[in-house]
Amino acid sequence: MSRQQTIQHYARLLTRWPTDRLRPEHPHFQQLLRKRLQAAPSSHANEAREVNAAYLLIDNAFAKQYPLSENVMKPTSAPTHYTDLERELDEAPDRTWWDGVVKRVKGLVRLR
Amino acid sequence: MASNSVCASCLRALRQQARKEIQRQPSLASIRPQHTRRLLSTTTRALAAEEQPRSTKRQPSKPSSANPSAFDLSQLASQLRKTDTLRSATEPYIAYGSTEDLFKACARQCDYNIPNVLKQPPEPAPKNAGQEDVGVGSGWWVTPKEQGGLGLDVTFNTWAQVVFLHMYMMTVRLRCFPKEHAGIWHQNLLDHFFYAAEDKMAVWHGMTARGVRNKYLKDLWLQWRGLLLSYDEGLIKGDAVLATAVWRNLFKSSEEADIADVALVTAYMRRQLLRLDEMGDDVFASGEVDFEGPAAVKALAEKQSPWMHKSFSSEDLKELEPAQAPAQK
Repeated sequence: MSRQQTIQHYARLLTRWPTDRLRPEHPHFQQLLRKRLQAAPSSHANEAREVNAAYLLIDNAFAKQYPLSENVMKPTSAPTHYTDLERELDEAPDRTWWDGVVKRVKGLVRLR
Repeated sequence: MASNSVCASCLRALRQQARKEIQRQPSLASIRPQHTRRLLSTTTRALAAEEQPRSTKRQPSKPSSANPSAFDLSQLASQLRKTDTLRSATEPYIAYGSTEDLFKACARQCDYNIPNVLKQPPEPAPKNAGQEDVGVGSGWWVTPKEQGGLGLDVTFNTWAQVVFLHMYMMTVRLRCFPKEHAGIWHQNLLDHFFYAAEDKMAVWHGMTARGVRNKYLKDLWLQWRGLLLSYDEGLIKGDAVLATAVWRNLFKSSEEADIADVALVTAYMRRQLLRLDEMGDDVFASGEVDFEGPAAVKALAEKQSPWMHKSFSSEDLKELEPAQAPAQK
């Protein structure tokens, strides 16, 4: 795979890799992709293999090959665990400091 | 009042046990000789005896057809356990025993020791660039890349992250237990990890002071909670997010990490989760669980993606355009 093609592949991956709003200050995977785009990694890396692996990940190839059943995604002990988590992950980055305080105080008391 | 440090004779005893365990060939396959199970555990003999009846699923109580008036002592223990009050009293013991087996299945994936510590007299451990103690390990996670492994550094942190990954998969499966059981089982699985982590810190890393160990244990707990969140997020949102979580935790957000390795671990996780999903509660609760190696997913992780041959649109190549001039205010 030529260097030009590699760069184009990494550029495409950068547009499609999911952004992480929850951890703004942590290292992002995009940094790894951008580094590969700007400079070729050490000789042992097989570029085609790397790019292919990244494409498989954005395609959810593994999730489609091994789909989990409703037993796991709606577990008996907490049927709404994953749906609640999804909502929380959606709302959390936009919360202000005061919203966080209110949520923590509300969480102190859990009504049965 | 417990002493503040691990006494020298206890430490020597732990090290001798560790040395014996290493000298004995680690035949930790599914058929394990009974005596190795107790070697490094902290259970007493009484608890070992309690372990025998392990199933927590409530068996539908069949009325005994033979002589109804006879008082059946053989079923007394399990029948008493089915009542609500006694269940909550006995459940932790059952959970402790079964989760010990589950934890051992996780810990078997990656084990290490530091040979310098076993020498007479003990020498300081070799350190890597990040000033972490480096040891000698077993398991495909730490075998060098030339031999087909992932080539991760053999440090305490790697061991903890590999075990966390497998414990996470156990946790996902444990969530499928009924509500009154799940909490106790989660807690006991976690406890086993922390016992093992503290053992390792004291024996291999020279942390005889309880305060230092506690500091690292608290840090580990925070890592565990963060890891639960990240991997759950990956489970909900797809492979790319799960791979990013694996990259952050296992590969320490290193920009030198290979994407193919991260993808292999992600595929491995998905497959093991499905295998655990397909296991019934009874089999899982009895502790007869084992993880496969990476060979099962290697072919899938190398499969050619259709994206490799797709032509590039201008949208795809946005990143390559020169930076836009800042907008006029």
